[in-house]
Amino acid sequence: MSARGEAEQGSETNVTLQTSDDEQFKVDRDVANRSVLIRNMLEDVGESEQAIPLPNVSANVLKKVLEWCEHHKKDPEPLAEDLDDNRRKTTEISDWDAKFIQVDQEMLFEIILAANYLDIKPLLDVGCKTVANMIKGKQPEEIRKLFNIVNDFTPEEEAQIKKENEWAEDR
Amino acid sequence: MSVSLPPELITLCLQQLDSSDPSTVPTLLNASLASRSFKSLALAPLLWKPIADETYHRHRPPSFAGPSFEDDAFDYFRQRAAKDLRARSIVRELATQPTKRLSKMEELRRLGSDVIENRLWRPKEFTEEKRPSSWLCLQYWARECRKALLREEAVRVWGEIALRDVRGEEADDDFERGMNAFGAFRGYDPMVLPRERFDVSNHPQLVEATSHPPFEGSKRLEWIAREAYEYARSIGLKPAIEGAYHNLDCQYVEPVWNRAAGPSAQNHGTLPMTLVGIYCSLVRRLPIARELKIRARPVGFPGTVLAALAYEDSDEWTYINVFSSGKILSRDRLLSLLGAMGQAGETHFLEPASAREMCLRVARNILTAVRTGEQAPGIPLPHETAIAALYSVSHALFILTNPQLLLGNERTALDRDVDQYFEWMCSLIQSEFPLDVHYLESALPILSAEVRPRISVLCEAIREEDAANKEQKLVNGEIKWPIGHVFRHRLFRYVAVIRGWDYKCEASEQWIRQMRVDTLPHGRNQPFYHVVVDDGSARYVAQENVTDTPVDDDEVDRFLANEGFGRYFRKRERREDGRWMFVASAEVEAEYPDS
Repeated sequence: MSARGEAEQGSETNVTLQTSDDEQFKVDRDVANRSVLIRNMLEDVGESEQAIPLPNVSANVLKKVLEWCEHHKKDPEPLAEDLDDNRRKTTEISDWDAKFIQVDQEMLFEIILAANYLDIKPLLDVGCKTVANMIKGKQPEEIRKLFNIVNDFTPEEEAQIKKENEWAEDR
Repeated sequence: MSVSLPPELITLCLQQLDSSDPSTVPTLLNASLASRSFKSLALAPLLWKPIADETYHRHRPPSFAGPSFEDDAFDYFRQRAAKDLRARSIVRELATQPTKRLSKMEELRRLGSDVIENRLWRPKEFTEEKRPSSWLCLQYWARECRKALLREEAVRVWGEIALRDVRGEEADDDFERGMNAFGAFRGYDPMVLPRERFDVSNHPQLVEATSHPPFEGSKRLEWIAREAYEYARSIGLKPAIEGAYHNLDCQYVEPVWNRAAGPSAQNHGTLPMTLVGIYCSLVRRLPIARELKIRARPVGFPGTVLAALAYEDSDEWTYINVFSSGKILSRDRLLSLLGAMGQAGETHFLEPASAREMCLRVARNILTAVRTGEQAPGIPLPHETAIAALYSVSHALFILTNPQLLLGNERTALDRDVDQYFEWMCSLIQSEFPLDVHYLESALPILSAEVRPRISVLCEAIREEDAANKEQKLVNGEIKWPIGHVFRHRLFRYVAVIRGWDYKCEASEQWIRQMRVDTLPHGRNQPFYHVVVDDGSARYVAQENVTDTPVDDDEVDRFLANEGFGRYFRKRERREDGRWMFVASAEVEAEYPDS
């Protein structure tokens, strides 16, 4: 109850966020509250005129993240004990989120990193789910490309692993 | 500059793959081939536990054989998958190699319960489209393998119940497991019932209705008993309708429940034993029952079965007649009923029955049902179904009648009965289940000295027959019809398929006389055909009664539903004239190489 009361109060005030590339964003407090990191900071330091520094997020990414927070500012708070379960069970991404997350791979990863840093679990889930959908049914080479990684197996090791995985053939 | 994700976020992404989606396993394996670091991420136990749970633990707990599920879920999953794969190969081998099947079945049994729910051998894996060259055979052997493993589990359950009975250590779920083990012989997997039928998550209304008892003490038990009764009725679990009482399907939870959930016109209800069984299974899982430690047990009252509830530390039972009216019955009321029945003072009828007694009673009920000969009202019992039911009864009676015998104790007068049940099981194994010969062999030590030599000889004979190639029968000028020919009987008009033949009538003299074979124009010295009728029964038909009159496609389709059909045929094929004929299985082909 009290958290909600605060949020309602807070909606009248603005919060200033400062990105790694020194841009400032002024947002409603209940938009900023989607980030557990920011919410905790605000609760700890109280009202302040000072901008909150976000040294891990650049302006173009924060803009995108705030777009998401704005749209979801009225979402009910998930119950703490549901968080783990929800992550596994809700496989559906809403239409708005699906459209929102239609970005290039670099931005997608940036959003995931930012959502993780800012502690916005639902957005992190949308991002991770999108990545999961991208790798679903993909070949190793395609997965390497997606994640920008190089194959550090020797051909022998690769053959060995394939052999070990023969049980999964013809599923 | 390209962005990359730290390992914990990659793991988070991999965790978002749906554990119930069949593409997740290959996706993770492909991810493990991407790089060394990806390999350790993609094969992490965290990811494989939910997949293993989804794939293998829906109805059975993690198996103990092989690597530990807790320590290395990936390795566990891999070994389980390898078992499934091997089990499917065994199905293929059984379908294509008619000899030395016993050793394959032994290997299958070593794979054990782990492969009962094998996804690789579900019926839809062996369809006419997917496996056109031998789908009938594969389906048949997959079903046989699954049933053999289910039987193995059932026999084990009864064995455990028997031993616990001797020690006076009956477990809470012994009645439930023992009763449902009978269904295993018909292919109803008892392990599916707890989750899919009994679990409280399927019955939120019942949980809600019983969550706040307005009373204390025995009033509370009565109240819970009534609520559970009302609920069971409301979901269609009701007493058998007129004429259904002795139907075989009433004896098994799954078909009873299936019909209860369907249209009410097809809900024939069931008998006291099954209702009480379901009732106890539901009640003992209720949160309120767990919280207050309430037991629910069957009571073998003369002429019916009652359910009884009591607190854990009390012997004051609250009785309810879940079959007739849901009436709560007091101990005094039951005592006076006993008096009226001339059983005054026989208070043991008011004690909860042991799981062993109840299983024996189920066995006798099934026996009655088979004798009555109906599966459901107006539906005659197919041969295979009747045999499976009888076979379950013979095992149960053999194991449960005198558990002392299993412990190697002195033989008693009771063991005459046990011997008889054994003989009965023996003749069923000999004629219908030769691949189950190990049950006879493992019973040898407890048989009486007079029977033992004969049974060992029989076992050896079964093993020899399994190892030997079948004697071939070659077509001569007399044999007019090929194996797989679909025909209408000249006189009786039924449709059947030829699965074998003799050069002349090889039936017993008695049968020949009874069937008046000698009054046929060509008598007993014409070829006779072993045929399978569309209802699954077997007949023996004189060549002159086999016709070539057309049989419609939909009449042929009816054969495909017939469970035993795949033993003899592997697929169907269009003849030149467009009609269907069936192609012999490896087993039939070995005997009739040119027919």
